[in-house]
Amino acid sequence: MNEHIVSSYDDELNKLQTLVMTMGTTATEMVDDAVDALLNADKESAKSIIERDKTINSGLSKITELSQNILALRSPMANDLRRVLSAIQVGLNIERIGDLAKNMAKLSISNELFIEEKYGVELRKMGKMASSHLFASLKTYNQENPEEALAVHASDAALDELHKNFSKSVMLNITKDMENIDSSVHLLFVSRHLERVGDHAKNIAEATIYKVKGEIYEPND
Amino acid sequence: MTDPVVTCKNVNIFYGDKQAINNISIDILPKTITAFIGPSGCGKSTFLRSLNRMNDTIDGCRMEGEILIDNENIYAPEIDVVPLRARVGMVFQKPNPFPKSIFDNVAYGPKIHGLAKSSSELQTIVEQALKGSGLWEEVKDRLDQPGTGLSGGQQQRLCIARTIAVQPEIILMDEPCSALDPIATAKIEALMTDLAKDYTIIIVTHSMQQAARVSQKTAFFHLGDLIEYGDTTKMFTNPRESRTQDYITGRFG
Repeated sequence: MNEHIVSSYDDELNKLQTLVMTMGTTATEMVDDAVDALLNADKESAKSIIERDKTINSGLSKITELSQNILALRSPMANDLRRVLSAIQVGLNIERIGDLAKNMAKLSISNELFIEEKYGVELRKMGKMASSHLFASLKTYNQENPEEALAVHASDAALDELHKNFSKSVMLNITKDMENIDSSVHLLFVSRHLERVGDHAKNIAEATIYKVKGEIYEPND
Repeated sequence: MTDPVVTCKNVNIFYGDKQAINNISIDILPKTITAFIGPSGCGKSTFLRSLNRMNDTIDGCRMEGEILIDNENIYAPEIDVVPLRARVGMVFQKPNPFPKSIFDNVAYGPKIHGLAKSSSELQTIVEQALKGSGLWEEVKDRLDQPGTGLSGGQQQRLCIARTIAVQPEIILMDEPCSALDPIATAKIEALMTDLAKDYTIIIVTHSMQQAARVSQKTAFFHLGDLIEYGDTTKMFTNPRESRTQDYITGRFG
């Protein structure tokens, strides 16, 4: 892409992208760490996730402020306008992911969960998948690769399937193991959160397509 | 589909040996605001002026191709440029009222074109034109005052009143707001939107924001070529051509 005549305009747009990517990297680590903290009953790690959510929220504030300034002072057009709008879109999605990781961390702190080994394995698998989808979608955003974004978008179906099967299995188990009903309900909650992380990764992939092609991606599902 | 009011076919314009416009073909839709944008020297004003043969007054300026207004070739030998310029009016960058009263500024055109049979009819035409340009309420009690005594924005609206007083079909505007403050600019832009209900407007502007705010169609010119022409919303959000994108985003001048 050619540079602007006014180089400070490029600096601001690049800074916006850096803010988004920094926020995204933190959120990806938080999702991984939240699952680890839960499975390892690591309350210290869970506390650090809650702390890191503050940097995510502050990142969104910075993105909002810089976007506002660019919109008001630069009147961006065409691909520049889409860079700003997509940064806001992606920032909002990452902020929600931060909240989801924080909620999972809070659960690790306030509850002594009983997690059967098979469920631990499944949750770890879902956590890895969710964070890898998130990482991949952020990469498509950073590298402006709409083709790869489409592939990331499609891959969310696998995470949905894992969530569906996990939920079904836990629900069946609730009727057999009434003693651990609280833990089971919390596991359903975690599974749902990881599934939501995947949905946000999908939204980020859609933002990449919009950013590069100027098209609103509307899948049939 | 709406028939175009202006059809340009393979238009080439030369200043002496230098070619300013390269083989441009474009259709302008009626009762629409069309913006011509592009860097200085790209030919947009030259092309605009060719639409009412204002270039005829420039020595060494030569035009090839066809420009049809309502299917009539305006460069045909039998065309009289005086009625043509009433039919295709023009508003310039700098407001240029005549050194006459406000009334006479507006009445001049209808008088020379014989549009009023009586003085009361002339008064009605002047009042309607001033109302049409949004100036009536501000000047109705001082019509005998000099037009040059008005503010810049009012003078420009007086020039628009002067243009519409001769019942044009098309109004050409060459950077009509470049000498005006933001309030006067907003009034002209609001007026343009009102006028587009009755007239076809073509505006040359250096302000991307103005083109985006007021026009439905935009044409981007560069080095005498028409690079892209289409819906304004599309042009400013997702243009087809990389040169358009580079220009509107400030990547080359």
